[in-house]
Amino acid sequence: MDILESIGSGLASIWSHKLRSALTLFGIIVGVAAVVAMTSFVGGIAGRIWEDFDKLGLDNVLFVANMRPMNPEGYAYLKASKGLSFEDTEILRAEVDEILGITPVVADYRVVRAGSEARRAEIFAATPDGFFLLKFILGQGRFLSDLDVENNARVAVLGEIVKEDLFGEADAVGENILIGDEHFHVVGVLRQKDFSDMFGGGGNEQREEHERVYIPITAGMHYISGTKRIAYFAVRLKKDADLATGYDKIHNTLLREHRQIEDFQIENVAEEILQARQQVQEIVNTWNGILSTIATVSLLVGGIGLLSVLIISVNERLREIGIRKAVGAENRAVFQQFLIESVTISVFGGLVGVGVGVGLTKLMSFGAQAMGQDIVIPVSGGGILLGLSFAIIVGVVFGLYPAIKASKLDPIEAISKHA
Amino acid sequence: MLIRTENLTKSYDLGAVEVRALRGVTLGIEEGEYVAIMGPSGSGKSTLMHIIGCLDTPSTGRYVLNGAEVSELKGRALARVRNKEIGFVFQNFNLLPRVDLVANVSLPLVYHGGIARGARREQAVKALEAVGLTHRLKHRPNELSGGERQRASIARALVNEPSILLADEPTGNLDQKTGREIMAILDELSKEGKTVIVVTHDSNVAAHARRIVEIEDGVIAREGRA
Ligand SMILES: Nc1ncnc2c1ncn2[C@@H]1O[C@H](COP(=O)(O)OP(=O)(O)OP(=O)(O)O)[C@@H](O)[C@H]1O
Ligand SMILES: [Mg+2]
Repeated sequence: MDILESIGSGLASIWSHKLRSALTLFGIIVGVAAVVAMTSFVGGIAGRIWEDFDKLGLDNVLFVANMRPMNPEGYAYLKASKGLSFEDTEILRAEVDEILGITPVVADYRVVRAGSEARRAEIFAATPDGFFLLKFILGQGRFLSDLDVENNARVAVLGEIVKEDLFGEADAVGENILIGDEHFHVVGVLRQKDFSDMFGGGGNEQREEHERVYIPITAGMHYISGTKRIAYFAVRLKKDADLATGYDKIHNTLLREHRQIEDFQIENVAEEILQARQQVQEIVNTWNGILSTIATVSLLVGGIGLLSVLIISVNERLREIGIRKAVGAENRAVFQQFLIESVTISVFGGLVGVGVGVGLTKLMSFGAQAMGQDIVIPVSGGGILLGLSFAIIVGVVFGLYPAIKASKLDPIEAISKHA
Repeated sequence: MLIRTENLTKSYDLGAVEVRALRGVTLGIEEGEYVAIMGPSGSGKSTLMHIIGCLDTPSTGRYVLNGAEVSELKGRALARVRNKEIGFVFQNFNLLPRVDLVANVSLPLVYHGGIARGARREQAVKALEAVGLTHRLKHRPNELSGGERQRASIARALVNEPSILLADEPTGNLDQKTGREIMAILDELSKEGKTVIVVTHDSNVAAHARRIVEIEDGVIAREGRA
């Protein structure tokens, strides 16, 4: 009995008992379809949310801002500290291993002009670190460079909205603009990221970023704020760094540099993002739990159905088993035949289940789009594999007992039991 | 001695009653013998044949086949004996109803191992030709007459070229002419040197054998030359 014949025999047994097979396969089909559809759904939605989190670019980010002490004696100390400075960022970069990137920021509002067009915009002065740190995407030209910072260069990178307001469709790179009364040379333009609808298309955060004009920190201090005081630092810690340790080190280093005067405050955005991610993860876990429960229950039901059908099948085919053994079939061969039949039936159910699951997934995408959500739920390859593995496991586990039962029969016992 | 049984018994426990199909059968058969087993219905002929064919196990007693204690043969060795040493023609044919004659006759070759599908087919067709069923290869058993089924089951018993042929009432359901054709096949096999044991009610059939064993009520009642 070779494998192909056993598979054929399994398919024939599905075909010759259509109603019974349909009832048996129902559980397996539902189980596998549930696995495929739910894995795709959870994976698709969660994947989209994780992507948005990544685009948001605030993982591991801390902001350090100037703070005026609340109490009078603190206020008295204020003179003793210089506040956040450009040098602080260099010291932090050198001393705190956890830091991946850090930029000082000076920001103020100015009127920006290009030709006859003008608008108010936030002038955001930072170092090149700021761009990768805040995960900006370059549309045209280039970002600011370390050389720009060193040279107090009057160069600017425009947010996409500012660019459109000032230049419309025309090229901005290479053009000159006026920030307040100062001439700047446009070297680059940012491009907006597309967020999913779940994040409200990126919302105000994103709008803010693109209503800015980015210039080197040195030019900012020189031409915009006119002081050496820095408004805040944006810091990104390394991916695998411990958030709390990084936070403490930054805090302690700054305290030391500021003569133990706490004239700054650290906004732990990283922690907030982490918590938000954890909340999403919890929801995903809940969904996964529901998914596994549905899958387990229906596969169990399917498996028990399969078991009873196989036992009936063994009893119906006692004569066949007896004949096979009478002409020299080993126990192993009979066992193998019935097990392969069992797996064939369950895999058949699994394949139908995958089809149904893929259909359901497409339906969900369709439904979401009908409700105006710009979401395509991709069919999860992992889900298909998982579903089919479940089907195979069900076939093996629940086929085992009937197969053993069939293989242990004596030839004449089997033949005459039938009669 | 090829086949030796000592005091074989076989009982069936049917709850209230115990049916004793064999009550102590001691029998020896040499290689190449042509033996007929006769006896009234229910006397235990089929039961004895099944045990000799290693298809059933006795309740008590010994059975030595070709020097080997059959009760000590493990599943795999037993399967080999059934597959290669013995060809069994059942009283009620026992063909697989769902497949055609070629597939039915190929079955022992499937479990022989190591024979490719094409070669199995070829050998099965040859065996069917030998019993005169060339024109029925694609038929299923229920599309055949009793005689044709009988011949198909002989073809299956012979396809692996066993040295022992056990035939349980091979002419039981047949008219005289067909019966004679079947017996001619058995005679031929005996002439080739195979050990042939045939169960029959019919003394004309038994006359083909060289030795007759008569069973009554689960024991050997008489034995003699044909
Ligand atoms: N599986 C079984 N369960 C119970 N009793 C059985 C079983 N098989 C056979 N018997 C009984 O054993 C006895 C011998 O049966 P067996 O089939 O060997 O007779 P037989 O000589 O071949 O008869 P026939 O000539 O009618 O074929 C009978 O009484 C029968 O009813
Ligand atoms: Mg009989």
